[in-house]
Amino acid sequence: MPLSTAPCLALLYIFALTLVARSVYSWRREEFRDCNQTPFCKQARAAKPTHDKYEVFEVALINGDLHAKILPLSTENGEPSTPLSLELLFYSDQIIRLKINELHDPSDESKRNRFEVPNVIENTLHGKRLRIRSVEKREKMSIVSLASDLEIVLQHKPFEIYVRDDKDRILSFNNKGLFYFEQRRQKGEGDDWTERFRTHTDSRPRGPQSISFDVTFHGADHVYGIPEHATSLALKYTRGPEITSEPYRLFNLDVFEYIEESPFGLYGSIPFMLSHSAARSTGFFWLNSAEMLIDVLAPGWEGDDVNRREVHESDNIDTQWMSESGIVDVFFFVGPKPKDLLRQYTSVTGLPNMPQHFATAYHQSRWNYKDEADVLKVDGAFDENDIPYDVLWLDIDHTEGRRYFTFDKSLFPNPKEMQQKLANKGRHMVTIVDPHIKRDDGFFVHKEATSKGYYVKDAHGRDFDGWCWPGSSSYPDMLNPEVQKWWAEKFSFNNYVGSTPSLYIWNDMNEPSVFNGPEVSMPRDSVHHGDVEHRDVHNVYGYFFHMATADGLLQRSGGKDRPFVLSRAFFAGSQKVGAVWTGDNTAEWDHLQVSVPMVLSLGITGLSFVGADVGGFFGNPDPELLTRWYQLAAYYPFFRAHAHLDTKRREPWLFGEPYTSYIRDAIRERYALLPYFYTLFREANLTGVPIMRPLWMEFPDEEMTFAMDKEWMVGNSLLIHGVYAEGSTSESVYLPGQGLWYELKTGNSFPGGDYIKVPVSMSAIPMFQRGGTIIPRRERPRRSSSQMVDDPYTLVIALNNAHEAEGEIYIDDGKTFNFAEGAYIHRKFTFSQGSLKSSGINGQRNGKVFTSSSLIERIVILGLELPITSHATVEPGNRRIELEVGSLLLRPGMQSNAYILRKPNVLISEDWSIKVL
Amino acid sequence: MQHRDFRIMGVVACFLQVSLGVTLLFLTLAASTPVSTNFRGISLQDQAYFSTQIIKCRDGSKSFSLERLNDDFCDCVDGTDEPGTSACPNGKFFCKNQGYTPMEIFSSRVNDGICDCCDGSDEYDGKITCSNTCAKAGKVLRERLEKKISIFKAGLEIRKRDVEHAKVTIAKEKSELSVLKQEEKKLKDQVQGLKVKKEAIEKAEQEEKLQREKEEKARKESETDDASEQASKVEAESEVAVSEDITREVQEAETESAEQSEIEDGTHSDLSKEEVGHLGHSETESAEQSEIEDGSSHSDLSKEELGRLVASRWTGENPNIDQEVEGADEEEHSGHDRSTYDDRDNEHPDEASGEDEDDDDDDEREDADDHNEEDEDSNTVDSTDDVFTDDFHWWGRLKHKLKSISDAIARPFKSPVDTSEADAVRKLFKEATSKLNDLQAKISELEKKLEQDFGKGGEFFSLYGQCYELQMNKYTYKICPFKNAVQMEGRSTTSLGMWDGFKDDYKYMHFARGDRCWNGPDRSLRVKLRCGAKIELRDVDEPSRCEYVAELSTPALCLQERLIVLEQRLHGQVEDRHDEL
Repeated sequence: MPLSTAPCLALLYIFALTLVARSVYSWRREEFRDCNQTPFCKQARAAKPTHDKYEVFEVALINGDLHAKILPLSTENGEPSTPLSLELLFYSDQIIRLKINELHDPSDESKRNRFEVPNVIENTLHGKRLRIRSVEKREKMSIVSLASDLEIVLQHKPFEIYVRDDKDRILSFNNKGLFYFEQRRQKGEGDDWTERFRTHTDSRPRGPQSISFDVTFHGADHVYGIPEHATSLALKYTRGPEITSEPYRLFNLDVFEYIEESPFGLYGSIPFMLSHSAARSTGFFWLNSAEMLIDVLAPGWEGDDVNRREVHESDNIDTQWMSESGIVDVFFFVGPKPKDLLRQYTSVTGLPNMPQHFATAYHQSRWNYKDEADVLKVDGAFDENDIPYDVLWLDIDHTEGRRYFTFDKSLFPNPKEMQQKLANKGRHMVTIVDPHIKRDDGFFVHKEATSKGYYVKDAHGRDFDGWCWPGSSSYPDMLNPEVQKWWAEKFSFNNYVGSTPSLYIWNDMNEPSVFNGPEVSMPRDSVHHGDVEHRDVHNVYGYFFHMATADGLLQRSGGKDRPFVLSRAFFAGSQKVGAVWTGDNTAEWDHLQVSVPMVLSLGITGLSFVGADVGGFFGNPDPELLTRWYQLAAYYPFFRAHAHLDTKRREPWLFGEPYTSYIRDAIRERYALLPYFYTLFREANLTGVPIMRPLWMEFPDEEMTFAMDKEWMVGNSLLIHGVYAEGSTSESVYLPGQGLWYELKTGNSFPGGDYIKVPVSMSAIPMFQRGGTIIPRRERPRRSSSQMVDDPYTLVIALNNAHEAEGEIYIDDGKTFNFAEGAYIHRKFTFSQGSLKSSGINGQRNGKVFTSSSLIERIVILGLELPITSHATVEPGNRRIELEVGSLLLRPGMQSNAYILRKPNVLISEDWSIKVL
Repeated sequence: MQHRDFRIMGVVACFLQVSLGVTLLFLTLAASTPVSTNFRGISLQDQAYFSTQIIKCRDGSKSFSLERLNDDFCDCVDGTDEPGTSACPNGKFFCKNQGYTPMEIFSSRVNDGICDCCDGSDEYDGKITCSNTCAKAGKVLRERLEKKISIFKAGLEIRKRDVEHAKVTIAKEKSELSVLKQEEKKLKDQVQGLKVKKEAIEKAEQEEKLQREKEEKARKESETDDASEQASKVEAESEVAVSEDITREVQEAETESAEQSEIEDGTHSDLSKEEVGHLGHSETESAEQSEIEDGSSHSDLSKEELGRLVASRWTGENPNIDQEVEGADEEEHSGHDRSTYDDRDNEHPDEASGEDEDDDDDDEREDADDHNEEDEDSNTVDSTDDVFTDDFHWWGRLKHKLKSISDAIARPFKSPVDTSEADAVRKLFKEATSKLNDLQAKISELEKKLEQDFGKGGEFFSLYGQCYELQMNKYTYKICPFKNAVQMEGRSTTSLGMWDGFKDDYKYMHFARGDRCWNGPDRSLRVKLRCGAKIELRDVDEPSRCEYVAELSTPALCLQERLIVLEQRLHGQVEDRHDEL
């Protein structure tokens, strides 16, 4: 009897447990390439700033665009220097585009064009072209004047392009002389272009073709953007004296258990950077879908041996941009204010689409709701607990062996009936459809894709075969328009057996994730349609997949139903397609906190319909963390709870009281604010301005706010401050601006421009309405948002110091595209001189019409001074209504007193006025 | 006030769309015939509360006038003033449901376009028409209630018998226990006496042996190495034998029991194999792990293995198996193997308690025991079986033997040792020790049983020692109250937990500390108990990974007070919003 092994066994067991515990929250850094392991990055970082590398010549104005050539002055390897082509294009709203590419040589057929990313730039952009009539040529520079106070300067030698206003440079390209364009060449003898990383080999048959350059944001206090990274909103220096960090990496990766505070790449990439100072905001966008790395250079990064040029270094932020391949196709945006940048950027990459109304409500997800009984049980429990929700999600295990477009026959024998049961309560379902297709000859999708040759090919020209959820899998080549079309057809009700009109889609793993590929993705030497290497399109693959899926949903409804597709991977332009979430986060306070800058960063780069998994995907949140997460997430644009297979169930009612009530209140608060949120979605759809905004977007002059990312604005009216620590009893909240703020829990008002200390209980996180704003709400919670359509509204008016306020409401059918033809209600509410008026915005209703029978039942006025009369008068009709003291919010325990206009019962859709004083 | 309201309504009407007409019609009616309409959503009992001109919000926050009752505007945050509308987020709407059962629904359901009350009273704004289904629902409800009541009645009878039986049996077993304890005391004395005697004999034997050896040694001084080796082996054995103490012997006797040794042989030898397997598995795991950790890449993995390995991070599945998607099985096996070892301790703690001390003993002594056993005859082994069939039978047989033993103890023994007498003493000692151990095992088992919580009236007593099984898809679930619960698939068994008592006022049984899940918790099981005429495992589910729930029907849950409620419900006397049927 081997008793003596018992202690040994016990030790092993403990060891095994430790491994498990460690693996639960461990990011496998070594599986991902760092800059040193990435030759083009290492090389670019090592480059010394120099200004004798390139010279511009043959500057000419052709067809309103500025054309020129760039001559490399010294080539490494002593090869003859081939000039590069340069184009400067101009668009309305002072948008400047610079393209630098290899010169196309028609005689050399073997030399392919370098890859240019399709389907990102808006078609309408071409119509906004400005044809330049003249260029001012001076010694060593060519100048184009865009406005009286805005010029583009192309400096010939040393090569630099900069934008300047009447005084100074605003933005410059190659101000530091880091521009380097690796032109492709014939493979010489002894050239070994192969790159190896861990067990993976990248044959790199086309050789080195990297690009790097520097961009200087003059006068900037901070730079922001370039998501996706789990880090602060204001970007940190990554290189410079005493700073050793990886550059910010843009490379779409499926990162298992990512950590916060890391510049490493996550699921999506938007190569758009914004700078901000009180004086001006500027933006820079590089349309390039290859691996990209960006250094934010700290002052003194050049070292002492370089002579600095005569600019106010301290006010500038230098950045270095490096990409593995592609071309230089960059856009300069000059603001001058943050919201201007969003308008300019989205005029290039597209405006956010208008989501279905239900999608703006609360979503309940889990890996996995196992079977139909489970689905109905969860659905029923929401009703039993009087908690609204709109969408129930099914993860990968609802399928037959992870073959998407199928339902597991034993677990989901009657998918249509199940969807109908939810639809009867106005609810919807979402199923997951990932890009990895199970290599099973009996699976119709695989069969078709194989026979039609629709898969991405490996370096040897065979269908690429990688490992993912279903086992051996292949990936549809979404670069091919024909494949996109074919993919979209898969979503027809005939092809997707078991789907109904209330079913929408979720795209996961579309980075693409390949479990046995380099960095858990596809080998870079895989080949796409048009003989394009995967390295060129990596970051845009998920976007194309997302787009084809959304097209599928659009088609299945005959173009009538707005698609709803959630995606994990994204690229610049994804805002046109659908929603995005921040991937596999963890049930930790730090992850709750970092979700805010993550969502904010996506918002300011155009992707407004974004959220993080409530509760954290991995791990088990305790009731306090879960409650705080719900309270915060109710203000994410995309509000979904999701959890990993291994976690404990955590539906809102499972922690008992008082937590069920707290979570119910948080979800109901979202439902109460849906009219406001939907109005903001429309604002984003019209202007690109995100729903969830950094404070500096609303208060661009207030330097205090520039690096703040623990509190934020929802629209222009609501300030939310998250609670990110266990047991917090008070929070220090900064209230920006000079105006008044009203705490919504108490109705108390505070002047802006300072920190205030707010006591905090578990029942809510600090929320403030900005003086001078009007927020439309609906205070009647229902099962789902569908039942709220005819419910009456409440207006909360928060007066500013001048006793004035204004706000908006946008309403449409929440489902179709009729709004694009005028079928909507868009009202403006103005309160001044004691009178509230409703008037139409943009009344050009020359197409379809949308009507609503909803009334306004309640008007709350904050900041009204005594003495007041006990009534108000509604016009037209000279009708008297009561004005009395009542509760601001209809939430027990929050009975703050405010002035309430009782039952004005005016139509939301009509013109009217109510005189209070 | 009322007049003004009425006037306002009229004015509003001028501006409203036709679609609002129905609502308006209602509101107008509300103003003109306040009593009949205003009591919408209020139960008959509660109407008195609302019959004054000034009404208090139930939370005491404020008061409102009667015309504000159900005026579709929320005055009381707690919903007091709007029982019949959806105006207050926290209100309740009462539906009479004549012919069915009265119900309270959330205000959020009022006029939401979905029929909730079977009498349709929650949808009155004209957007939809709800047909009255109360008669039909009532019939179904009555039938179900009647069925449930009959089950309750039958269960209640059984429960009564069970409780009675438990009372009697527990009393009997308690007295049995005290008898056994007295006997144990006696037997302990006897064993001690025999032990002294046996030791004396053995000491004498030892001395004789040494003496003989000395003589032998002297005589054959120039013998071969073989002989001397043998001698020293004997010597070693003797030393071990002499050093044995009473605890050791207790253990020794225990291992002799047939049942025991079966378990020992079977499980422990199996265990050693499994341990080896597990060790191997752990080593592979940690090897993989360290490979990943040190960044030296998975160079030995095939592409597919790498894929599986990466996938396994999310799923917890074992990457090294050939199954397509269902990879969890292997992982479960190893999980099971790991805890089989624990099961030994947990499942039979009474038996194992003696063994625990063994862990510190060295193998050498173990060998010595085995060696001794070979010399014993197997009679004792047979007779121990009787312990479990008839508690007192063996005691009579032992008694007369003990008489001769006590004689032997009393008689001083002389050297040289009478070998036949020595053997007899040894045998008797062996037997007595064995009986004592059996007796102690029996006592401990009884004590353990009687320590259990069998419910307020002992209604769960009949579940002791029983197991209940349910086949669901490929798994068989087996729940043994007061012991453990397992999930079986073919030959593999996964522990879902060890008995962890009743929870929530005997509404649930809980089993905890089952086999550990990869990346997850130890498996656990919560068994919801329901009234049923027979004990039956009805449903097993795993809503969160490795957290199982099951349903067990038992007469123990058929309570008189619940029956009364059911009967009242059948006769329409009590409303029950949470229909458990």
